[in-house]
Amino acid sequence: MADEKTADEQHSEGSEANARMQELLKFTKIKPKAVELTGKIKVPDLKPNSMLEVKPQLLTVKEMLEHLGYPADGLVPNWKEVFLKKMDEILKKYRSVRLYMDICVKCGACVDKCHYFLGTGDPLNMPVARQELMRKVYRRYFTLPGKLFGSRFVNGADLSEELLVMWYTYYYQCSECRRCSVFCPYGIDTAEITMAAREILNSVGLVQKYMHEIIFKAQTIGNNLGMQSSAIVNALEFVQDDLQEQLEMDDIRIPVDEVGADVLFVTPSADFFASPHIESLYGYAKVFHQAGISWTMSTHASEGGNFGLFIHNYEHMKKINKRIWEAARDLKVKRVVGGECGHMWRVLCNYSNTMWGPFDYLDPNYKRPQHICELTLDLLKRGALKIDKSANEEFTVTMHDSCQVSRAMEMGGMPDGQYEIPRAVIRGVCHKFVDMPAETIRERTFCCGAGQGLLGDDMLPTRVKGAMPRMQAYYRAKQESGVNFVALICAICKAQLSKMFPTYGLPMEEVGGVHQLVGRAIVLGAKEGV
Amino acid sequence: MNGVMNGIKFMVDMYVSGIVYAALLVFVAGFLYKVYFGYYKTPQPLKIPQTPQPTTLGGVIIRMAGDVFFFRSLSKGTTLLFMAGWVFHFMFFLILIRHIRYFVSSVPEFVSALGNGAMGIASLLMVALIILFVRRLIDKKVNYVSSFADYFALALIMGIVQTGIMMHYEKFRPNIVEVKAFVLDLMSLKSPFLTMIMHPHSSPGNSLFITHLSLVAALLIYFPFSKLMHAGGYFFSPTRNMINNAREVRYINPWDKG
Amino acid sequence: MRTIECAGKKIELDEDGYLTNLNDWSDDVAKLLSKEDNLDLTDAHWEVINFLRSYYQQYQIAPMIKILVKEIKKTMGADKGNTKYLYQLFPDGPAKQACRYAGLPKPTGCV
Repeated sequence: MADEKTADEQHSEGSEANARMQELLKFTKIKPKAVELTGKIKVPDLKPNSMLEVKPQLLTVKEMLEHLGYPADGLVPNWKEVFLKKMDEILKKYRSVRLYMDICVKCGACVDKCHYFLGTGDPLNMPVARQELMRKVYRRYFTLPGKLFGSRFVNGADLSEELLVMWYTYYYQCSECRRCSVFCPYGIDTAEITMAAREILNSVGLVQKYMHEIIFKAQTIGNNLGMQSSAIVNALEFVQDDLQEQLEMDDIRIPVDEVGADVLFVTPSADFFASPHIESLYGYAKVFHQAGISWTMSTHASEGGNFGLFIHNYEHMKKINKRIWEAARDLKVKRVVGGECGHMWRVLCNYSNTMWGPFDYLDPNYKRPQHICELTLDLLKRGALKIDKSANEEFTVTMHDSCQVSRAMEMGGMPDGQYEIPRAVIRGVCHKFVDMPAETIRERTFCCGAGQGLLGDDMLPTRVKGAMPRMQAYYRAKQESGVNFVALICAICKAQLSKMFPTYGLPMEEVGGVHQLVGRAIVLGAKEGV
Repeated sequence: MNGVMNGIKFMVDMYVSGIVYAALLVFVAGFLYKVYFGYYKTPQPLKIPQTPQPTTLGGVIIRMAGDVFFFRSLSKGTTLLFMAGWVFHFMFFLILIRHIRYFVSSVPEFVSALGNGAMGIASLLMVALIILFVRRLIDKKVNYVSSFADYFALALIMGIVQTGIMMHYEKFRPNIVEVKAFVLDLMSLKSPFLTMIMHPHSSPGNSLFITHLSLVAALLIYFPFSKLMHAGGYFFSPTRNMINNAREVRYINPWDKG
Repeated sequence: MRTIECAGKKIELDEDGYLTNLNDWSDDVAKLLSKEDNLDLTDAHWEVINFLRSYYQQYQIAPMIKILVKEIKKTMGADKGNTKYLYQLFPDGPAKQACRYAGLPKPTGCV
């Protein structure tokens, strides 16, 4: 039937569909409301469609869309065809997605594990229901019974504009934090499915703004903020001056683009721009200085984060990651160390070697990228840092495990290293450390509520509701043990929680980085008289 | 009269042999096809093992064994689901072992030993199934995600177990010697061909036995097209079966060998 | 997307209320935008806005908050050189609210 239509007819139908879609996905500002803090995380009753209105903004800047290889004019006229082609490609390229389409038994182990479900009660935020949005399409178009007998027979769904709306809504209410997967008897990873769904939406022209604007900037300018080299240098020089002034030392430095340094240090660009992120930068500089490690930052690899991870678009992720390894080669460093960034750690450690390895040009002792916490703990253990814990006396510290670190990658080459190492660093620089309730930390940690592309202001309603479990857990620790500082190793967590704390009625200053604490406690006196 | 009876007997024999072979064929071919082409042959581009992340092959095997035998991942969540699920699977497994006695001429000791507890095992299995079924109905969240297929799979297995339990009673019991002879007949290599040329083996004429067998055949045919594929699929789950050593050993993406 | 009218000129804003075209900015635009939030721009506000604009012209990005704090300290006195004071001036946060009045684009990234 479609073949009989002229190209013009098809086109005008297409633009009508696009107009309808733009209307359906129109961004509406909703005022977020925080619940009262009680210290308890209650499983809510089902509230169907309660989050249906919350949708992120669409990216409409043609230049960016074209650069990223996505349709520049919204929904493409032949979107169904494109949709299925992309889905087929992903099913053939990712075993994870292919397998997870098949093997879910809907046992319900995951239904009350998602922070967005706990915060909203919207049944489509239950991980299995979220996955079903894709499985319905899978069963209809990619299984034999579905192809033969249609969507009713297999409990599937035909492609429709309504379905696109549901996808765009609920695959952008998942922060790919993988908590549900911990409890799944088969390890079904909703993150993999969400990533695939987002890339399929991208292919038909429904591209989320926040995340893809950043992917564009990271590829063209080199960092998520879009900071030009001159601005980076200015910011880092400012921090260096500030450090020298504060400490009355003129040899503490933040080296930039120095060829031949031992360490290339890569961190999220937020660390030299935003607060409280910047405080950790002071900490890193003090660690390197005190340990006498020659290090450098790079204006080329000025970003640790890699938003390419958040969609199943291998090319984007690879391109962003490339800058780090180019910089490592060009600056002739011996090793690469990553700063406080959650998903960076996953890409840098789990994926870098696959994408750009082998790293035979690095020091054979440090063939692998290191985490700043690994480095700091090692120095602490060796006594290379002089620490005055009383500098942090005012704090009773707890730690929020960032989802991408805690459920993806080991640290220090030992089981549970990603939990133990940052905690050991904190304990090494503070007297008082208390953990939050056990069901909210380590492998069961709750996402901050804004991870993996949901940190935009347009997502505030989702962010506020998704932060609920973490906020309740923190509040409980605060009430029971007097906790007054949460230490983080992720820039997204820092940005999200420093916004959520005031929203929930807690002081913003209680949020900070692990190396913020380290920086405060390091005594830089050992070099006196040199 | 005799001719009619013979005709019916022939039809029943054809049906019983036919479904057994058809079901086995669909099950084996479908299962292998899915596992080989669907899971094994589909590349996994990146390492995505999930915490707790073993860094050695041995660690991965222990982790997966924990999941397979003790449902470790599931046990982290709801206790009722974990208990019911585990009892269901484990009792089902014991009952399967118990069925070995129909397939071998000399029954091993451990199989006959299971016989003493068979009714207890089957009853536990049934209870677990009922819990799982009722849970789907009354837990609002699970009910929301359940569809016909989920109830169907449970009902099918419940039917198999129920007919199995009923055959224990004298009133419905088939002639065990006949059953065993029939099963052993079916296992002979030329039997499928005999069925094809309309020479089926004589089957036990017990309607409950035929129902039991029919339901099993239905389950086997349904298996490769359904969520029951989790049985083979689990072993390919990248969050579970990958070694977390991406920093030490370079993992090669099959479609981007660099 | 919406448009506001300022001195007879139609000015386009994006979904978050930032100028789509940075050249549309004028003092009056800043006043108009702040008025929508029931905020009267004082000299202190202008100090911040002007510094943001001059920094942006040089570096194509807003200054990091510490640079801003230091600048305010320099021009307005030590007691005002802190983040708290900036939040008093711009309750939604200097990085976002002040940038919006100053006609700078919204910062992206993990901030």
